[in-house]
Amino acid sequence: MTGPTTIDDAPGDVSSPDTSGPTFERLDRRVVPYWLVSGLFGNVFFVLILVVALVAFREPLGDNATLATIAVAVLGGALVLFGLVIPPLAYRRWCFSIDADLLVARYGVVFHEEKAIPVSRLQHVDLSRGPVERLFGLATLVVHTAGTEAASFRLPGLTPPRAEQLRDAILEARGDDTV
Amino acid sequence: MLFVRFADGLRQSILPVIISIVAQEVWLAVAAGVFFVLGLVHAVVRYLTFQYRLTDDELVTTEGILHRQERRIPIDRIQDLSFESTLLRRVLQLVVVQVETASGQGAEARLDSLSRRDAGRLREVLYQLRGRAAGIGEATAQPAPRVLFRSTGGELALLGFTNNRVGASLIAVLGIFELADQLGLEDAFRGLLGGVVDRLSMFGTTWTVLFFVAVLFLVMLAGWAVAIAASLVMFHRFELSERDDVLYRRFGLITTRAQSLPRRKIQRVTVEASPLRRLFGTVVVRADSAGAGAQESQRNANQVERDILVPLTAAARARALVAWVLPGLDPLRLSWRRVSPRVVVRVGLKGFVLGVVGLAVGLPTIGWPAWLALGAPVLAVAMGVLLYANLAYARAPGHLAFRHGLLGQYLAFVPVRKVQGAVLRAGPVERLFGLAHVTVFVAGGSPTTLGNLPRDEAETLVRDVAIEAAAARFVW
Repeated sequence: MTGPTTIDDAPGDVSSPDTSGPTFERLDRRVVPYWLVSGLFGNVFFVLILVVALVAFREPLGDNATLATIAVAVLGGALVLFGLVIPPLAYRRWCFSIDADLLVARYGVVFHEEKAIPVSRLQHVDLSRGPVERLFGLATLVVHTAGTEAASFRLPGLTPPRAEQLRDAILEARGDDTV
Repeated sequence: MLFVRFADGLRQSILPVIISIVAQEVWLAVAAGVFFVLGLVHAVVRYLTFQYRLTDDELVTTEGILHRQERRIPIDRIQDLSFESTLLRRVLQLVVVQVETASGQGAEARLDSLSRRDAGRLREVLYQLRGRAAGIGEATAQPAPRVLFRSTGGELALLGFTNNRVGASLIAVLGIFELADQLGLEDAFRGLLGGVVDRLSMFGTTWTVLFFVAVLFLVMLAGWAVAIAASLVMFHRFELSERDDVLYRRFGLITTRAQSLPRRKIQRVTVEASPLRRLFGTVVVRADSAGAGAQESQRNANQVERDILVPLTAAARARALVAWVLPGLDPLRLSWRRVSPRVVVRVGLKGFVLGVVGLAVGLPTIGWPAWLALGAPVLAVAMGVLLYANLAYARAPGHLAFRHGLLGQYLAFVPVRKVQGAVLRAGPVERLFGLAHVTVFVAGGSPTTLGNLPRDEAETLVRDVAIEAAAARFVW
């Protein structure tokens, strides 16, 4: 699923992503089970709706019922498989670095992205912790710029102390250079 | 303002009344009347409750009785003030003032129907206050505005001529057919058309075809005439002038608009030459300010014309203007770097796949014309070459320039100190070719993207732009 030029192909070496340039930091390991749970939860829910719909509409579907069952099975299987496969790959791909000038993040399994945001442009910084996230002891740092599109950026899989540390560091480095 | 509302309401209720008379449905007229009265009440309430005042550092507006709303806009956050005056308002010497901030949601506040004198005073006071906030002495005498650009009638006519409205007028004609169909005039229409065709068929097929080609041609001519007239009316006496680093635009024959835009608020300048306009060596220049933030899909015609710096001019004049609007940038002395030539292979491969699929699907179903699908790869390679010729980027101190186009050519200049972020993206196919695309975000306007860069070059570009942006002090 990933191309030839990427670090994902580094055989078995989970602990060293492409961290050339400034010092890059990995996400917390617990982000993988967190993604697995939150992703699967959504997917399973979706598949369940499909199954319920299938049962409810068996009569009007008539001869097409078998076909529909196969379609739902394939779709559901693919979704669940995706939900299982993507999080570890995403974890291996994710890395970020924050210094006084720049926030750089690399992520994306199918579509690789590398984002660079000048710290001085950050409007405000949020810490967000959803219920599942709290279960795994994780936090997400949400930074906002003044852009109209992609104006907020989420940095997931941080331990709460690290997230707070990053937030304070950003607020300090940012100075008073915003809108 | 009351009178304008009254007239607007009257205008809006005329159509339902006419329809109700035609359709002989009384309830429609009654409904229109009710809406009219409601609208009038609304206008009176608005007039009585809407207030604005200017404090030392804020513009405060209050409105509403039940749902009372007070809005405070810090003066140094105001990006742009625009004045608009429809025909009726012009007769009454009134203007609509729109206040825009960087919220990216379009106008922050709308002051409807201020008298022209009040509006002018508001602007003067606003700029004075802002000048004071920026540390500029308030006592400086106001020099006369310097005219940077004035549209000629010929340019505006060419703007209309090269506007892509000819196709639209064809669609309009089809719409008329449709409407005739809906209104039950179909039979009369068909009878008319049938009569014409009958008479023509006496002269033979050639004449029939010629007749329809002639009709089509006339429709196109009419479309052109409408487009030219529209741009002549819309941008009548377009003038761009400058005073104290603030750009002023004024234009319009029926609805006049006067807008101001501080130069330092400009987030991006684009120079666009659509294929037809490129043929004439002319371009359209636009400037995005942080206030114009609505996303591309939500933009209505009004917003699009709002961004215009120059409706149409010769490319050379446009370049001189860009150099003035973005100090430190000389569009003539940029050293453009092309993207990876692999773009040709990539687009060509796409065409090849398309051609093969077309052939495989088409041959059993539609027969020999399916071989035409093999033209796709050839076409794709030609497209790839054109793309490669136009795709490029350039770095100048403090600025970033992107270029793209197929038959036309579109340039975008972004001051790096306005950059809010940069991102590199590489999808599976792009990675296969070792390519990536780079998007640069500014506050307001749409993001600027350049595709088909070699991956390593894209990485360097993203990093460099972000670092330079971080080093530059950001000023609004």
